[in-house]
Amino acid sequence: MAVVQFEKRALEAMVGRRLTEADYKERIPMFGCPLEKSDATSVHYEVSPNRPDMFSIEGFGRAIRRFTATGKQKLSNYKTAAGIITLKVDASVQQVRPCVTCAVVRNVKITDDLIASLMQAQEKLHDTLGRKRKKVAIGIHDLSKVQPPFTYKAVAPDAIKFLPLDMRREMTLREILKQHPKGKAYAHVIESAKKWPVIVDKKERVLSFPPIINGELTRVTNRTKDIFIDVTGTDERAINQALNILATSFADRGCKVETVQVVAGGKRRSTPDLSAWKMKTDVSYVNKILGLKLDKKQMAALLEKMDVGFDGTNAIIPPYRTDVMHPMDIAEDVAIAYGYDKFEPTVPEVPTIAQPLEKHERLYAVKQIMAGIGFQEVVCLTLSNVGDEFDRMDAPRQPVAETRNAVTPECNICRRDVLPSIMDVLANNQHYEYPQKIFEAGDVVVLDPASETGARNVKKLAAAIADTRASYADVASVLASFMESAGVKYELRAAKHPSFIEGRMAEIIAGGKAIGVIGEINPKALSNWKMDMPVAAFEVDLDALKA
Amino acid sequence: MAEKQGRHVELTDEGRRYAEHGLPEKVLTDALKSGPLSFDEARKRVHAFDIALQWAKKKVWIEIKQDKLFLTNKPVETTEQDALKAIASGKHVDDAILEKLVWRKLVRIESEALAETKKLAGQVVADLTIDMLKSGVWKDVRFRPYNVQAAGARLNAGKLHVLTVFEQKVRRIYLDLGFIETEGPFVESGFWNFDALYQPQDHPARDLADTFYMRTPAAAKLPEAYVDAVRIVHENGGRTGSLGWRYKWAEAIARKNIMRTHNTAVSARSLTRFKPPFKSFCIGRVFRNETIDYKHLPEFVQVDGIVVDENVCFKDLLGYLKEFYRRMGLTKIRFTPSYFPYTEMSTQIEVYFEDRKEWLELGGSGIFRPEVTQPLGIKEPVLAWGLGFERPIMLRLGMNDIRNFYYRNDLKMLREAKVLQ
Repeated sequence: MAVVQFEKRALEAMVGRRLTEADYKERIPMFGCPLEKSDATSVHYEVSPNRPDMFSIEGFGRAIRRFTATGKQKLSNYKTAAGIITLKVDASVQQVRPCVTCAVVRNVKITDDLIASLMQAQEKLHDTLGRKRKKVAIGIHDLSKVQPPFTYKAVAPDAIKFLPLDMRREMTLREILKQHPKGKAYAHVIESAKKWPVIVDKKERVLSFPPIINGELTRVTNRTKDIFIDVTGTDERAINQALNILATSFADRGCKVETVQVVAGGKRRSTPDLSAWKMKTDVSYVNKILGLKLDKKQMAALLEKMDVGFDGTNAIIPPYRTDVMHPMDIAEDVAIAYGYDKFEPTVPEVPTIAQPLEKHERLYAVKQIMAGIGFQEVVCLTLSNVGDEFDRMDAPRQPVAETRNAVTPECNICRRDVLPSIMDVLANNQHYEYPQKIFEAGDVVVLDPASETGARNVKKLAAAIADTRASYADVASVLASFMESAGVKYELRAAKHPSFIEGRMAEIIAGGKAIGVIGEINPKALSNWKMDMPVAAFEVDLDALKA
Repeated sequence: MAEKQGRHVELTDEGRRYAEHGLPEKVLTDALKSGPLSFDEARKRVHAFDIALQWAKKKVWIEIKQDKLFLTNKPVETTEQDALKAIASGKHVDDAILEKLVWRKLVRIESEALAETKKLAGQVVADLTIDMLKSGVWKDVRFRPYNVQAAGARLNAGKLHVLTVFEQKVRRIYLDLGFIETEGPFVESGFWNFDALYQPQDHPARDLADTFYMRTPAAAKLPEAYVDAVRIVHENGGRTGSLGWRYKWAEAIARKNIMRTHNTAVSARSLTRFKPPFKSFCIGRVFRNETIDYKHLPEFVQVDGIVVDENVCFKDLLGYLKEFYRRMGLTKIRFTPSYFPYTEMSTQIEVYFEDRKEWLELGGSGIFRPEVTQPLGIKEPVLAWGLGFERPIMLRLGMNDIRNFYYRNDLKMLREAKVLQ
């Protein structure tokens, strides 16, 4: 979710009327933009990634103006003037950043509001639609400082030098990636390529080194009148969407959008294409899915609030919308215009029969037995680390399900036993009253090559007594009571396990299989957990109990 | 009479009588010494004749011939009678004989304490004891009054975790509404977690920053029956009437294992398991690769539900959610538009908490896009939601740090937690 920030004064100028506190707090959220923060002069809203057109104040204002309007409104109809400025695409960019599209915007009145809006829209588009500039990057230039035709090409990292924005000296592309803050931040997008992309003018002056940085030469200032926009990337559709969003934003400010001739491989395209497009949408489909009884006219009136046309058969979608791909998207626009708060919630009769999961019923019964024996239930994370899982237990490391990118190193594997979690809880609660008798019954993850993902969940129970004289006999009688209530016949077979004191540890055998362990925790393990209280414990595999 | 080992041996009323007048069977044999007697004659001369007869016969001291009582040849001994007399005069008797007398209810053995207890008659006592009840002395004592207004000291009892108690309540609600309970693996394939839910392969949610990717096991087997249909819907919308995401879908990406990020993955699997109409739910852990702080844990619980039926619509989605929260005791609920790649009419669910005077976001919902349902073989609309689990509990308990669950397990908090809804 992207959060956009607007000055209330500037937003109201775009909407065309004063907005009340109720508009800000109640009405605008009903468009799908939760209010994040609001003070006397500014507001912060969340904008969903399916509406990047609302990252700019022009787009946001346009949507809210229509949504909150009461009368009839004309649909947006964006025109472009045919331009003659050309951008030539050299084949060399195929290897690094193949897609490009451009526009020229004239009669721009640069104000602080416009600069703020442009910067915000550009940044949010880069992060979301642009996937952090990988898929889409935008350059905005003062057209008067350079001379068309422009060329988009890839060059060797040291082949060209220019003064990048916010630097005092000319730098090669390689130097920019190493030294410029933006270069360091986005180097990963292009550095594996042999040649890197640039846009140059007729005199080989660099406008832009996409997706990294623009040249100082074409910096937009308050004297700029005409603007050149380049959008480069790896996805044709995404760059066109980004350009349309910017171009319509300028158009909504009264600027004139002019096309650029993009020439690639002998083919010529005029960009941007700001025409609306159609999607066949059935009124009855919309009514059925929403549970409404709208006629064509009513639906058209609702869609008008969303700047979407409807001719009875087709929805007509404005060029800045990037999210529409199925008639269901049109149904959602109808629902938003209708007002989610206006729908009457109903619970239909869908005749189905409840079916509890037997495993969960059993798990709950296990918990009740243990609580009945006098144990406090604890609930721990499944995620753990080899330190807790094996090292502190003084046990040899074993294969586990392991993540590869955990930001919290203590949560980088899945536990395969519950007992280490129990020890962790005891270790963290040493300042509280003893005896401490606790248990956990829950999921662990074990590797299983036969399963679909190579790992599966297993439910296990572990219980422990921590007390000045916690002994094997104590915990053995807890196990006996538990097994009696569970109706499981078992025997204890003397065994060895490094986590337990030798001679005071047994395997729990049921149905001829070892299904758990019981014993007094080894003092070495206790000291690893920084505990100075004896602990006696057991653990059983609950899934094996049944089999 | 004080005895060894803190015992107190005492004659019963019957025993006392016999100590004085002789055991009935002895009295009877004495009467027969002068010759056989008829029943009637014997009854006149022997006080407790029935008892006398029973014991004399049992001891084979007498026999009955032609309705008359005769002495046998067996010598009549007086061990029991002597013992009664000895007890009466405070002398020690053998345990073996004592046992017989106790059995005949002629002698009572009481503990020393019981005997002492009897001396409490007429006094004010502190505790009601077993001896008081046995001896009946409780009738003659008064009990010292307590300060009954003092609160009792608390106990560390066996107790379920507050999350378990709450989970059972949620389960119960869904089962009451006719839902099937489901579960799925924590280690899940990208296919079920993302691709089957129409999340494009370069979607930010799939970023390393949000999702735990697995080193071991790194890749899953894909469900052959659905792979092609899912690929096509991503690439061009297939037969759903959608344009699709329009990119080249890669099986290798779908195969990557992750820790499931939402239980909607389980809902997606359910679409292939049950035949419509059906309703199913899943309560379980989900995983997000986040740093730990008071608001975030890398692992928490979500509650997902789906309703699959040809006639359900958006209003029904709102209805089910409203009904669920009503049963949870939260009656003020509102829906605002939201966005998820796999639903349309995506809604955010907000619930009003009276004590905080605040609307709080508790979950997301919507109707599954046809791009989700059609490849999995479902033609019907599917209402779907995923709701937060811990937050309402935290609000109810006045907690503001999620680390108290799962991570810290503060025993004091757990021992003292309110679990009654």
